[in-house]
Amino acid sequence: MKDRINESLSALCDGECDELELRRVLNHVSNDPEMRERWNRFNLIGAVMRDESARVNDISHGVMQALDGLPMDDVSGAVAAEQTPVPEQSVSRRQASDWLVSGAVAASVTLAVLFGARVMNEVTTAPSMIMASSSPVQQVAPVTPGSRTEPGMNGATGFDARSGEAVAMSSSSWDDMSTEELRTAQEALQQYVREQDLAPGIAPQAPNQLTPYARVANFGRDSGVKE
Amino acid sequence: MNNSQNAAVQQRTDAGNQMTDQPASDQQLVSRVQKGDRRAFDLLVVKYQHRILALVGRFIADHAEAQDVTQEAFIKAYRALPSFRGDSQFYTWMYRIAVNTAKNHLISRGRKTPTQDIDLDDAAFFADEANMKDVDTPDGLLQRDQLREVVFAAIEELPEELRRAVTLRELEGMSYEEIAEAMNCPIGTVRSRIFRAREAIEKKMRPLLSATA
Repeated sequence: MKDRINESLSALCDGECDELELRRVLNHVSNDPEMRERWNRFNLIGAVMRDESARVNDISHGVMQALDGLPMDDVSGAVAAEQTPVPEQSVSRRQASDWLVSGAVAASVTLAVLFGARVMNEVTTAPSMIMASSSPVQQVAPVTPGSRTEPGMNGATGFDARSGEAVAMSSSSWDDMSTEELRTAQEALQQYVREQDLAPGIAPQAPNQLTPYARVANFGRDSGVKE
Repeated sequence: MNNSQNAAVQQRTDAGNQMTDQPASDQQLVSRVQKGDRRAFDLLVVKYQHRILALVGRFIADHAEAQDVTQEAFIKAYRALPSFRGDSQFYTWMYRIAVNTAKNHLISRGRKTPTQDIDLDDAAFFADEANMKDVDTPDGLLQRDQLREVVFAAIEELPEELRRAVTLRELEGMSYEEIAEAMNCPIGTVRSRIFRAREAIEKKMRPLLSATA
């Protein structure tokens, strides 16, 4: 019996066994480690005879261990990637594009900060609006039923995708300030802007230029009015 | 072997020879893997690990690194097997995965890939000594030389009909049917002779392999 199954194993090496024999071999191989070793040695004999590689290392255990719990892909994406090696040029191109993406992200963040600062400035120039409501942010950027909101992003006020970070920033900054503090901050800000406009060596700037707004964005942190 | 057994063997051989482009055993094993039988993939790994390792060794000199990349190539092949349609031979497909895995490995390490690709036929049957010998450890070299000595000594000791049968199969790549014609004997006899030859050689190899394991 054992000879018969070993003969089937030998025939399998040569692709000369039928489906039934294959099933029998597979069943035996899974229960008999010696048979698996024999399969290895049978194939090694051929490799040595053809002078292909006489290495005795058996990496199959490592492979099968790595495959434990690893599913086969349903799509051909993995092999498609493998069948096209990444050329060196495309690596450098990818690095360049990564750099461009990083630059674009940095630029977007800067714009968002500037835009946020602008919104904040509008809030400071309309104190009556802020004081009239306990939730000034909602007054500045009301969340309309049609607008896309993402609950949980900004607590009870929500996150307006259209006004984006500006709303979120102003919300976190202004909610904690009292009316008196706001007024003080506003006066300090106006004084600061005037000083900057009149400072020697610096050209006077129109109120709507971006630089002062950028400073407003850091105002609370720099001045120590409200952290 | 009586006539009915011979007929059964003939039937099996005919069925196996229907897929001339693909080694029948590979095709059978691949089908089993695609049906979710991982044991069949294990047999494919064991069968081709030496050849793939030697191939990867042409790209990656360090033996341990080459082993890791070979392992990675087999894992990728396993994951991608559902998409393997059998248009090419399993080894050809595996060859491409191994070469690309090795190249990508070199690129990811910032090393240059070989400017010339390795020919598939060459990769399948090349003598790897020139490329692997220099990077192998003295122990590895000794094992390989010892193994070769043992195998060829065992072949020399075989009875003529067994030696001829196994040589025609392993070196000439002839099918059982072709060997049967060449040796003027039934296919069942060829099958039995090749098995007995392998068994005798394997017995001689066993002490050496168990000592190195």
